[in-house]
Amino acid sequence: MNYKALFKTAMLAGEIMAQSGAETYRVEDTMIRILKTSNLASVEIYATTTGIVATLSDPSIEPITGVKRIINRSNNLSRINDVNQISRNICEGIISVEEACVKLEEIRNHKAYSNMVLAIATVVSMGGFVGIFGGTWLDCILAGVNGLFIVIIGRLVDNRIGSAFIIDMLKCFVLAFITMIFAKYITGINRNLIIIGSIMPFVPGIPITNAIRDTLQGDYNSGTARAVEAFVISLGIAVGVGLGIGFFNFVGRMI
Amino acid sequence: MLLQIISAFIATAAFSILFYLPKKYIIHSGMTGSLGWFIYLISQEILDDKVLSTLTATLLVALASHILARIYKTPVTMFLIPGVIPFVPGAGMYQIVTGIVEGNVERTSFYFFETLQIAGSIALGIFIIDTFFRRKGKGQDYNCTVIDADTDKLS
Repeated sequence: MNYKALFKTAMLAGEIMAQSGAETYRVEDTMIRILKTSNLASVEIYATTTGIVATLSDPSIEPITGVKRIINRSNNLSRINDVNQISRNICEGIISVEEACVKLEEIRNHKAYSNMVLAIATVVSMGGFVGIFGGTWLDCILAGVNGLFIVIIGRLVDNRIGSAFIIDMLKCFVLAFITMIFAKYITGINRNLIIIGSIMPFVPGIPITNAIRDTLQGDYNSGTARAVEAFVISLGIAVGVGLGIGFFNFVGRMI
Repeated sequence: MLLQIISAFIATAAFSILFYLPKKYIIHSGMTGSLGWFIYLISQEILDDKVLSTLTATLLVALASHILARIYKTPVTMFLIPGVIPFVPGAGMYQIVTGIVEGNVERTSFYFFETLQIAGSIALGIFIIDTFFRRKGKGQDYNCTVIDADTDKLS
């Protein structure tokens, strides 16, 4: 068995999972299961939200150790699902380690949905969340219009500004401001509901869920890190909305 | 109420696309979402308490997600994340902010604690179901050759 290739595959699987927003215990668990197919005596993985350390050793071989820094993180459930499937296939011996490595590279470069679909999903989800909270049809449609603005802003700034905090803040600022303008000129709409529904796609659902699951698993490092992440995202949303309403109160008399 | 449940389906499904949920599970995530919101609305009617209703609904959503994850052999987060999203206290956050903007301290502190309680009850709901399933499902999940951790020796 080629232990170097196995180690590389396990590291790649762990890296993709950690970058896609998987829970830390899942990253460790996946890597351990892949490495244990070697039947070597010692497999140790230490993963955090920002990096992975792994080592594979046995009296019969030179120990292999690797470190991987996780820099870009995003939320991508379909990558987690695909890597999970491949790790199961490796464990059951359905595919070889080399095939798995090729497939993992494919997963890394695969985009599940086109930009058009994502844009439609943004608009629909914003409208839908207003509906959940009991808004009327008009409220839903106006939230959808907010969604259109968010998509346009996303096109303009997403790749230019490095900080997710600033991007979220900017988007929430714009949607709060636009909603206040709607509320001024269109009677009979519920501006609270429209703003609440519109900010829902930004709320930190994945960090919150992962923080809970990591903490339960005993990964207190990752649990607190993700809780802080969730708090920072919420702060960005709150500051954006607050500034948007405040700015409208300031300039609202003129328009 | 029917409109709310239908929009829960649409919103959760659309939201899961934003997180790149695989295409084949989008219908399931929408169903988990609308089930959760249905339970939430019902318990809101009976209990008239946001925190308790959130807890009840999260418990059921987490249970449904675990069952779906066992059936389709996928990570449970595939269904859990879209399912709990409607309960994340976005409304509370908004009320806190408007309280601050208006300089209304009472409103801010009221919604601050309510938001914390709701977030806590989501956590509790996921905790309880996770613990239950972890004990029950241990060892049946994969069929890898697993070396016993106690006999591991460092070379």
